[in-house]
Amino acid sequence: MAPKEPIQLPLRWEFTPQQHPRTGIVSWKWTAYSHSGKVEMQSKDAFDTLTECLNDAKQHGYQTK
Amino acid sequence: MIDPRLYQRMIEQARDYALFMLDPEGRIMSWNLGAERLKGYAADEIVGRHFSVFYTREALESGWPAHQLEVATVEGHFEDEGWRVRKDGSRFWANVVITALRDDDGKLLGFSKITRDLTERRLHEDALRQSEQRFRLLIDAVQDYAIFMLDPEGVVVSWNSGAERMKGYRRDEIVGKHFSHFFTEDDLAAGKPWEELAAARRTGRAEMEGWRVKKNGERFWARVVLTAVHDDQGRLRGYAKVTQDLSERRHTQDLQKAAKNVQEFIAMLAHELRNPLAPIKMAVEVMAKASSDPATCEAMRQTIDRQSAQLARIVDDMIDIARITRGNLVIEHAPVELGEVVRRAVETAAPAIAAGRHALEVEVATEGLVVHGDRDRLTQLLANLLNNAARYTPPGGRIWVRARSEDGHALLSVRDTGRGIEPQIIDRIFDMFVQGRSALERVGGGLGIGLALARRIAELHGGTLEAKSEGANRGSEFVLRVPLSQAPVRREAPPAEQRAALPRRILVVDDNVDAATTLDVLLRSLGHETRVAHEGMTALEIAREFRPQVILLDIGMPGLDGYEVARRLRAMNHGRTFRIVAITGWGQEADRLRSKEAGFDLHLVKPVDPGVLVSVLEQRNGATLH
Repeated sequence: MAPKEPIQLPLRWEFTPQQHPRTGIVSWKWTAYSHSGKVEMQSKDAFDTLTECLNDAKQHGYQTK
Repeated sequence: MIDPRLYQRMIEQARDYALFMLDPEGRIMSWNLGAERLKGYAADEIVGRHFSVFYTREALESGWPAHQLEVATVEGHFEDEGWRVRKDGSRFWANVVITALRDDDGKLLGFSKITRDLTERRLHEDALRQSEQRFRLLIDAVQDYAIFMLDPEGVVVSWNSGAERMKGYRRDEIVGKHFSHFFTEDDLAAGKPWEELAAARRTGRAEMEGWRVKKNGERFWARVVLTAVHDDQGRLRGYAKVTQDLSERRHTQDLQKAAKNVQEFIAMLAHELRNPLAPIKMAVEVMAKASSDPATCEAMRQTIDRQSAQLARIVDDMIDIARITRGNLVIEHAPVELGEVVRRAVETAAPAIAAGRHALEVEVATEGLVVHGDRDRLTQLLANLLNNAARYTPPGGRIWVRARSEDGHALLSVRDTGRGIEPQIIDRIFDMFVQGRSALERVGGGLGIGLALARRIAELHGGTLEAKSEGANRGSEFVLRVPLSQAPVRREAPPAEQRAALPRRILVVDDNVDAATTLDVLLRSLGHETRVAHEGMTALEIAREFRPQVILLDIGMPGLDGYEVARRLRAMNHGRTFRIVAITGWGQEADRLRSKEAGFDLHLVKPVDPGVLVSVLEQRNGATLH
C-alpha cells in the first residue's frame, strides 16, 4: 500500500512474523503507523528474513532522515 | 489520757528498735528489749556507760560520737547511718536518730537515741552495687561487641570500649547523641533507625544486619540486636543494643561468591566455545567429503563464517570483561544520532529476534536525538538489550524499542513480553556473570556480561540504565537515559573508491600451521605472491631471499618471538621498504605499544577480518595504525 499523503513522522514501525498455516514457514512483513495509530504504509511483499524486511522498510523511510 | 506506764512498757518491750536515753554527757540512762537484742548488752551491763562503746575504732578516732551529740545539742536532732559494734565485737549497719531532750526552760536534760539494724538492706545494696560494678566491668571489657544503651527516644546513654573500638566515637563524643548517627544516608532517608526502635518496642527484640557508618565515614557490615528494656511497672526505659562487626565474614562471603561466579563463568565459557566449534568441525568434514558440490561447500562456508563470527564475539566479550574489571573501558566522544544507533542495533539483533519469531515495534522521535558519545558502544548496549529481550521472551512474543527526549535527556527503552525479572534479583542483574537463573536454565547462551557492560557504557555517557519488571513472566523494560547534545552529527565520509588490488610479495609467519596456511590460501586467492614460515629464524632466511613487501608476523612464537623477528628484520633492512604487520591474539594497549617499539607498522588482532586485511594490503605507503 503506497502512502496516500505525505508521511507524518514520527512513525511507529512494526515488523511481524507470519507463519504459513500449512508449511510452517515464517515470513516477515512491516507496517508503518502514524502516532495516532493509523496505518500509513505496509510492505507489499512478505520476506524470508527479518533482515530483508528491515532493508525493504529502509527503502520506504524506516530510520532515515 | 494514756497511762505513762503504758508508754514505758511500749518502749521497754519494743523488739526491733534500740530505744534508750543518754544523759547530756552521753552516758546511757535507760535500755530496752530491742537494744538488748540489737547490741547484746543486758541493761545492768550497759546503763551508766558512755554510748561511744557502740562505735568502731575509726569513728572513735575521728571523734564522731561527740560530734553527733554536739550537732543534736545545737540543732535538736542528728541522724546517721554507719557501722556500729555489738557487745561480742561484731558489726552491724545502723540507722541512728539522736534527739535532744530539754525541759520547759530549754535546759538540756539528755538525748533519746533510736537505733535500727539495717545490715540486711546494706548487704543487699552492697551485693547489688558489686554486681553492677562487675557487670559494668564485664561490658566494658568486651572488645568485639559494641554494647550500649539507648533511652526510649534512641539517644545513646552508655558506651562500652567495644563500641569505641568498633565505631570510633569516644564515650564523651557520642553519649547524648541519637543513634541514627550510625546509619547510612540511604537508611536514614528510609527511616530505618526509627523502624528498628519501633520493631524492638513492638516485639521486645529486633535483630537485623546492614551497613553501619563509623565516625570516620567508613562503612562496616553489622549484625545488630536491639532489646527493649522495661521497668517493674512495664514502662519502657530504653533499649540495650549489641552490635557485631561482620565485615570480615561478609568479605569472605563475597569472595566465595565471586569465586563461584568465576567457576560458573569458566564452565559457561567452555560451553560457549564448544557451541560454535562443533559446527565448524562438522562443516570442514562435510566439505572434505563433498568438495565437488559447490552448493554444499557454499552452505558449509556460510556455517563456518557464522560460527567463527560467534567465536569472535565471545573473544570480544572477554576483552570487554577485562576492560570492565580493570576499569579501563573507554569510549569515543562524538555527536551520535540515536536513530542510527537504534537502526544498527536492531540489525545486529535481528537474527535473535527472528529466531524467536518475535514481533518488533520501533518508534524513534524525529526531533534530533543527538547525544555525545560512542556510536559503536551505544549500539552494542542497545543490541545487548535487544538480544536479551529476544532470548528471554518465549517464541512469538513482542519487543518494543522506543527513543524519545525528556527534560534534556534522550530516553531509549526496550520492553518485552518475556519471562521478566524476579524482584529478588532485579538489583543484581547488572552484576557481572549474572543471568538470573542457574546455568542449566540459561537461554540462548552468552557470557552473562551484557548488562554489566551495558550499564558501564551508560555511565561512561553520563547516563543511567535501569531495569523494571512486574515480576516473573510479566515482561521487563530497560530504560537508558543519557544527556542530549546540541552538537551536530558528523556524517561519515562515503567509502573510498575501490581500487584494484596490486599483487604483492607477502611473507606469512605463524607457528600455527593451520592459521598460516589459511592466510596463505586467502592471499594467493587475491593474486598475491606468498611465502610461509612457522618460526622466526626461517622467516629471517626467507625474507633475505624473497624480499617481501609485506610481512604478516605472529608475535607469540616459540624461539624467536615476533618482536625479535621484527627487530632483526628492521636491522637487516638495506634501504628497502617493507611493512611489518602484527597478526596476534594480544590486543591490549600495552601490546600495541610494544609492537610499535619493536618496528611493526600495524597491529591487527586475530581473528582478522579479510576485508581489513585487503584494505591494509592495498595501502601503498607505510602508514601505521597502532
